[in-house]
Amino acid sequence: MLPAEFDYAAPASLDEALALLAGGTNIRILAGGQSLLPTLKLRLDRPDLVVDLRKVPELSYIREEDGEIAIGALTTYADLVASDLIDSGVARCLAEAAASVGDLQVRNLGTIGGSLSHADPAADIPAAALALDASLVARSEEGDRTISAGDFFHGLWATALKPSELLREIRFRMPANGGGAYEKLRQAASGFALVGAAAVAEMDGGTIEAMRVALTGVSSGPFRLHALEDRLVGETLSEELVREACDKAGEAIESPLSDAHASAEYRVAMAGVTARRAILRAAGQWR
Amino acid sequence: MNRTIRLAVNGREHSLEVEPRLLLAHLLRDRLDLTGTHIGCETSLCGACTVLVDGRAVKSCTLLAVQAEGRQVTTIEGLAEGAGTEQLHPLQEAFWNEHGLQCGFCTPGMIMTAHQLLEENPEPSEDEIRHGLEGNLCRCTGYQNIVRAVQSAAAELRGG
Ligand SMILES: Cc1cc2nc3c(=O)[nH]c(=O)nc-3n(C[C@H](O)[C@H](O)[C@H](O)COP(=O)(O)OP(=O)(O)OC[C@H]3O[C@@H](n4cnc5c(N)ncnc54)[C@H](O)[C@@H]3O)c2cc1C
Ligand code: FES
Ligand code: FES
Repeated sequence: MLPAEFDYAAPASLDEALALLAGGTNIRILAGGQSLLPTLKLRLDRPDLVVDLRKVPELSYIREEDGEIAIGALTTYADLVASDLIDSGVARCLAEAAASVGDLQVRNLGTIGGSLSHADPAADIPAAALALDASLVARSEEGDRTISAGDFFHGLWATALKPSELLREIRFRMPANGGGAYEKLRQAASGFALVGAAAVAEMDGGTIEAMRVALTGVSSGPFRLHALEDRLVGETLSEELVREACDKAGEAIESPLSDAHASAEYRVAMAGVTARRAILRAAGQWR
Repeated sequence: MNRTIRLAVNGREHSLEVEPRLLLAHLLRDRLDLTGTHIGCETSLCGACTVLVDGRAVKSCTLLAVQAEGRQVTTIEGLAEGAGTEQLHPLQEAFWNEHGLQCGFCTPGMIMTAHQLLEENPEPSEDEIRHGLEGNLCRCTGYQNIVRAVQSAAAELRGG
């Protein structure tokens, strides 16, 4: 199963990569290849040029700077899962999302930047990025452009990235009193999310100071559950409170997906269940 | 346009001219005659084509040969050689002894994935083995003996 012919470049610097992107159309960036290669092999896509980022230095890192975590776009799921920093506080929703992706082989190659840029409607990382209220740093020859996760996803496989831009970094705040969790109901055959819920909580003792919850897999793209979040903020954490708030969470889903794997009704019902589990674990870390 | 790449396969350096669209699985099987790496689904799902690149398990049907430039690739053939001629690797011995295969089609991939698993976790639980081998499908064994084989190889490698 061969992809159609394409030209290939492996630039040795970010500037060289950006010049290639600016210099043509029908170009695809190659990161881990775990979505791009299946697409090329099925000839669903026929780019003229593939720009492989593997030789670009400085795109794979996890750093803590000024109470923020910064992650390079080429950081793999395996790197995220192995990082103690990502296994703490609010970032734990990202660690759990990364650990739930595919299988060992896919996690060895797939990258955080590739997952966000690909924007599969059932991908795990986008939900975590929304719950973390992450900033996504895009770079073109004109310089950096910071896009908030909330403005980044534009529906099925579509993002705010321009053809001349690549995703360079993901940043988010690491509050001292925060917890995070990711819950996923897997589709048995593919392992992708039938429903995935990411939650980030900031607690003041038993009081919920901030709460962000995002769903994936249930419609054309990942999204925040703002009404549910508003219902919880300022309240004292209890299982009854969260259960009652989550019972209606599924109602916020616009045109829920219905396919061979699960009906719309099932996804709507399970959205509330996964959201509840994620919220209780995210907030419970601080009880 | 073709490119010349250098890579090491089972410890041996190669310099090869390849089309950018060539998959690593085809380079190994068709150019280097290393047919121990099997191609099952061709769609990134079955894991039969798993090899190690710099010690990490990857599906060689989902990696371009050019992406392996400058890397160390290990296939099932290299595992046996690595342990000494004629001498099978403890994982291979264990799959044999524990009857961890029937048709054997999935076996090379299973063993390569298990190799990374045991490097990172010398004493995995049954659950950890099943979870670690999620990306490798077997249509014959029902997995029980595969899990047993990995447990047995783990004990052997720990010197137990
Ligand atoms: C068997 C299998 C199971 C999987 N299971 C899951 C799962 O359970 N959950 C899940 O979320 N995903 C799953 N995936 C998809 C996987 O997570 C992909 O790795 C991920 O979607 C893409 O990351 P990548 O680094 O491989 O990107 P690539 O495949 O290299 O690229 C994907 C797309 O993003 C673009 N791109 C990549 N990097 C950048 C960048 N830095 N800037 C701009 N554009 C960029 C590429 O041009 C391409 O269009 C699975 C994949 C496989 C093969
Ligand atoms: S042949 Fe590569 S995963 Fe099936
Ligand atoms: S032994 Fe036949 S597929 Fe596994």
